[in-house]
Amino acid sequence: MRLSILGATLAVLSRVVTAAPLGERTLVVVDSTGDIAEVGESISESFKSRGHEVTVSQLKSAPPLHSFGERAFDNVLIVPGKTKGLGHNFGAKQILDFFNEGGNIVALTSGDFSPAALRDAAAQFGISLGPKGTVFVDHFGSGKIGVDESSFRDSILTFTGPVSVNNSGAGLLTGTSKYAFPFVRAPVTAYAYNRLLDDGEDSGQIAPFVAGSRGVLAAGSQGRNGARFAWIGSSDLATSSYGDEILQWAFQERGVLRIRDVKHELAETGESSLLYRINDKLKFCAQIEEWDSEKSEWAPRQGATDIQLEFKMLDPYYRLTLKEQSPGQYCTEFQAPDQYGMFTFLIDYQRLGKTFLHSANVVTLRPNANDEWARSWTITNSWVYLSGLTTIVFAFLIFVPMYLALPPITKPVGKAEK
Amino acid sequence: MDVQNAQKLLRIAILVLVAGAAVLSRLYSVVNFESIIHEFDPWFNFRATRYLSSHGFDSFLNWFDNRTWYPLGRVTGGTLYPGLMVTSNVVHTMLSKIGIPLDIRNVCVLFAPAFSGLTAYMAYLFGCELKDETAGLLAAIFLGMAPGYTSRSVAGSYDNEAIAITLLMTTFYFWIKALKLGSVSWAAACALSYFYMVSAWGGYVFITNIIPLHVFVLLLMGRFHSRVYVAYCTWYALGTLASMQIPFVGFLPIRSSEHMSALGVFGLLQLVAFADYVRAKVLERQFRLFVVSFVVIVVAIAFAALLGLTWLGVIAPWTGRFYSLWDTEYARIHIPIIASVSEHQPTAWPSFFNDLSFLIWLFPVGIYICIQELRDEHVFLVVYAVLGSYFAGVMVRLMLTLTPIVCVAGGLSISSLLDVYNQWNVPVSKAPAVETNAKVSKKAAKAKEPADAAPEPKEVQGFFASFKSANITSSISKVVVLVTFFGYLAMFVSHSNFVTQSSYSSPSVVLASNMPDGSQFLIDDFREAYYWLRMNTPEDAKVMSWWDYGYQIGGMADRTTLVDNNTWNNTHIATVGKAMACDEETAYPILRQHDVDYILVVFGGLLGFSGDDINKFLWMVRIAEGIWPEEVSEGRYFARGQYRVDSEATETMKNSLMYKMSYYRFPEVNNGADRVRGQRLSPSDAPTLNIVDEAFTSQNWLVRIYKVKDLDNLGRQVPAAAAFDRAH
Repeated sequence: MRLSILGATLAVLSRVVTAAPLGERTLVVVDSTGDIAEVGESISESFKSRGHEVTVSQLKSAPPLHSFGERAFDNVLIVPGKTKGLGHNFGAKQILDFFNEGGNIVALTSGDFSPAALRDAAAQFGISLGPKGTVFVDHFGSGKIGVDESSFRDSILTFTGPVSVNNSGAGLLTGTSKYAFPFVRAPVTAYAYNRLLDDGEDSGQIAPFVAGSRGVLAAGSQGRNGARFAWIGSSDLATSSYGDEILQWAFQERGVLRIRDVKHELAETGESSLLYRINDKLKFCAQIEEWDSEKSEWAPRQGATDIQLEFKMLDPYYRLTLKEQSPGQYCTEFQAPDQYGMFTFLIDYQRLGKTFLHSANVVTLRPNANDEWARSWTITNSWVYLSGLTTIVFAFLIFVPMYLALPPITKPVGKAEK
Repeated sequence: MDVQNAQKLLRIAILVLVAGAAVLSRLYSVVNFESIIHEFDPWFNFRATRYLSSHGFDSFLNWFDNRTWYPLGRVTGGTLYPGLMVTSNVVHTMLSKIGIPLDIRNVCVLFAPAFSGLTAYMAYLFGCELKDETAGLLAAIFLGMAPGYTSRSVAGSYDNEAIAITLLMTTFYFWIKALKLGSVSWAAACALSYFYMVSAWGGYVFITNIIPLHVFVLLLMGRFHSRVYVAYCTWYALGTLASMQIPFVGFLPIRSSEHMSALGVFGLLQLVAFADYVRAKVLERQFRLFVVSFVVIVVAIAFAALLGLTWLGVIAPWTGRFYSLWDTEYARIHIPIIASVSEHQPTAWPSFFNDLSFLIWLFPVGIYICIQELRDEHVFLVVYAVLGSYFAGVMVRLMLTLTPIVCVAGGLSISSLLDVYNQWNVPVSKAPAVETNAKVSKKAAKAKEPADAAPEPKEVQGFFASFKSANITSSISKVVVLVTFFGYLAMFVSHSNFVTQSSYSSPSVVLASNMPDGSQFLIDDFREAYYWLRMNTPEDAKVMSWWDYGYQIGGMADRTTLVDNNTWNNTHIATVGKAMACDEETAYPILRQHDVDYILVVFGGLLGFSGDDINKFLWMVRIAEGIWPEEVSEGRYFARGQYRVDSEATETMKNSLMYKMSYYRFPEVNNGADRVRGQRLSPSDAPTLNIVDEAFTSQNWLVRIYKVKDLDNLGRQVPAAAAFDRAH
């Protein structure tokens, strides 16, 4: 008991300084052999100021992502350098395992640094990164890539002003994952090619890695478990206001939702159960909250009109839009179908850049019990049979005494008639 | 002590011994294995009984089972025959009331043997009604021990049939009584026991048809009598009303075609009774005209009504099981799910000899004796014999309904034989003249009995009477015949004992095999796997398996299943069949849609257990093909007309989920040799699994359990994710 109070107090205390709801143990892995290393260090400073517990480490001496089978950090920022590999602590498998256990990952590359482990990992997220030396060029700009409003198509970022990006690594959404999305697209006039293969002559022979707005300068993905992955292709972008936004998103300071207090009950009595009857009036409610990183607390998510409830057994019998009843509490009422079986109250809310909400509750709809049907006399059709029944009962009651009491008909009478 | 009392005492002693023999011979399964519920259906009955004893009758009646047929559920209370569960629950309660607290499981395990003792007693009463006490006692011991009945009633075989045969005999006994005496009270007793039978077993339809048929035959023979009228009308009215109280039966007795003969005969009896009345009132010539026109009109109307109502769907169409009774090929062609059940297959000839021993050739003799006598009750026996033999030939499981009549007929013939050959103190030449009226002679014999100390020779009737005139019953021939038949009887007992012990006492949950040194080796993989499921999976986990194992998973592992042995929904079973038969990409959405957490397959390749899922696989394919002919096709699973599982197997076969789950990692053991199919998988044939993970494999690989993977966290296709995991 005392321990739990202590734990709650600690939790409250830690919340006060927490920017992200899920954790702030942040590891920044920097390879000082590259010139983008200092970007990583400056980013880590800004996270420190936001309350993250930042560990900055050189790649060679970086601690493993897991210790004793447990995830050791919540967020990881990887800033590679000239070193070819990332070491066995940061293989694609380790990165994905970390992600699958709920850890957030940001990879910062550039045209010069694009290690294979990161490329392998990113490929699993549906983001294909160009190999070392692949850069975006745009012959219509001044050697730099100009980011304008059109670059933010399908993005969760909003355009706030143009940025010029130099020496950007190239990315491409392969479509193998439905969760990957672009942060910043390349301009239509840009293309990416591998300048290491360019020997100055006959450069037309080198096929571009990607061309036009199919290329991305930064992209991200969110797992079904809510963990986030972001890749930023250049230090120019990372240090811009967009980079800041991407990092905040990736480290779960923005767009974090949660669903709680999911309840279903009989609409009339408010009685909750796992067993309802067919045709019962049911009510479903769920509290939906969003993390407010400035106040470091969960605030009700208000005004959403796109949250839907499915009541399904194999197929949805109902798909209803939830209405906000009180701040953050979304409810709906409906009549259960005239079909028994095991039904699921399903909320599967997936919006770009927001935490996926998933809630499934299986309840049983049972048929009417033998004593729950209407009584016969309340059904008008049955009156015919009921009157038949009573007539026979009365006729019997009259007939038997008469038969017994009246003297038998003597035979001679019958014969005489014949 | 006078002779009559001594005879009575002897009869009681014999009956007690017969019941004892019947019960004890059924305990081999407990002795050889343990007190365990057998097979498949009994596990459901056991589970239902436990539900009844813990929740009470009201909730049992309205039981909606959300642990099976996920996500459809089953209205179990309304779709089962509650007689068995209610009876054993009453027994359980009564035993605990009188201070014998017995575990409900033990009540269930010992239920069938206990009722077989009762069946033997009913056979005795039945035999007495047909001939005399000797026939009754013989019928009792025959029915008590005949393997045909034992096969469904050993200890642990807690199935509806265990109680149903007792009730079948009771109902028939009451029917004979009612018919003989024309008694309303006996007919009411018959209706009551019929109601009990309806509440206990779907095979009650056998009674529903055989009694009307009996009456109909009597009518054709011109034996209409007020006794017949009273007995039948009382039985039909009361019995039908009572049977409609069982929720599962409901309005079937007036709607389904299987019940129409009873209704038809009921109507016919009214007409015949009416005609009888009219005949007493009018002249012969007028009457003939009246009858002919009347019959023609009535038959025409009735036939048109039957056709019309069936066509309109008011009368339920004939069910597939019923069709397969007449046309043995019907099920194989039209309803694979019925044909896939081994007990619905036609009976093989040897099993008649195996199940009935020497009774199979005494049976025709008994029937012949009946035809010789041909009183009303003998007509019943003949009708029963004809129907029973036909049905037993069509379906293996209906051997059960044939056994009682065979035993009774056997009892009749042997007792007739004894009547002739077991008379010692009377000179043969002075045998009294044969009397034609059996009843009179019997009564006379009975009346004489107390008078003489030595029993007067009984009148030998019918068939064997003809031997009387020929002087064959010398002492030597008597001794020879008696010794021979004593030998047959002894052989019968030893044969029955042997068959019961060796063939019918296996629980099939635990398999037994012999070690090289002759000691018994128990293969307990099923329970191992079910226990693993019970202990290691979440309580609401959904387990998919072929329907054969549904009841066992529900009973032993207590997990939700998709399909089970109730097989009420062919489409749902076909869905499971499709998931098993298709490749992983097709199967995965089906598994996700049905919230499947675990898949259980039975694989006998390592052990040589031939009843495994790969051998049943073709049924899954066929049943799935019935619903999705364009997606599943049986021919694609055959490699050049052969059923191959090794490297020769077709691509469709190799890609099917069932194949992959069965042979996953199999080449690692036993050199990949499949002992059932006699084929060998090389390591290069080893399947890879993408959408499921191996969760458990039992000691002898008999049961393999796989966990269905969740959707990929990264949003990849599951096979792609699996490929990445394999590569890293």
